[in-house]
Amino acid sequence: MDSKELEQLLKVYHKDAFYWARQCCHYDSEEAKEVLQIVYLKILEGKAKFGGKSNFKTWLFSVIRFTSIDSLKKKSSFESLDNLSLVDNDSFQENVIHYEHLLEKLSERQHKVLLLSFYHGMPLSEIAEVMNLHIGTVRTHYERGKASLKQIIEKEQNER
Amino acid sequence: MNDDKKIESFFEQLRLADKNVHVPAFEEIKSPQKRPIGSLLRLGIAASLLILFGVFTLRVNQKEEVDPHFTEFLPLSIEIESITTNSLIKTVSNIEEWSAPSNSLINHYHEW
Repeated sequence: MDSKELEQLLKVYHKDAFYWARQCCHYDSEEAKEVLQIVYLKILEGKAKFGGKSNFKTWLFSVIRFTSIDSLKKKSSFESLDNLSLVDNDSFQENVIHYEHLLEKLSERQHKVLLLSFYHGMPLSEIAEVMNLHIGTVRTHYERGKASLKQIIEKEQNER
Repeated sequence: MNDDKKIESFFEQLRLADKNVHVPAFEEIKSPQKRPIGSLLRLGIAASLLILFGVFTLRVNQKEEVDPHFTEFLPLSIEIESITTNSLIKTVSNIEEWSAPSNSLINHYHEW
């Protein structure tokens, strides 16, 4: 696949890629932009090669996930990624449902698995590729994540 | 199934909320970003160090490139006492010819 074809494919998935990068960077748009830029450079310079074994979107999402992990590790080397929350607390408004904030209450894996499934519409087999996990593990995170999110939503509704 | 609907609705709302999020254009992301000041500063320091190193190496090389046939003449000034024969001539004054240095006082005392 030449660089023009790659560029064309990146353009097609650009919006989804940005949203996924943002979700991987704790909903920080600026961080997502930087991560996505590194990802595009990696792909267009041939440092990350698409082997054609999987769906292009699945592979792209996987590259974004790994790059965001590296980027966040560099920026917060003393803080665990699970504990890190960049959701802006200053702009927190009481009467608005903060979906991102609620999702951040889930474990990192449950959060990502549910996003890939319900937001990006990926089947579990593809989620397993993006997350670099066994499909059985993905299924477990999917089920537990749904149960936890349901509780979080109900708690949120009861508090209102 | 009811649970799934709740969750689906939750993500649908999230998708709607994300419509307000600005998505940068593909070209904006693809084109190289302006370098942050920190990296420019680091680049500047590295460049000046490189220049200093270059100047230093040039000077060292210049010192080492000395013509092997070149002989340096140092002007040495050695003062040598003028060789004269004065020391060889010894005049011995005769006792009869000898006069005391105060002789003039005897003869011309009134002049003093």
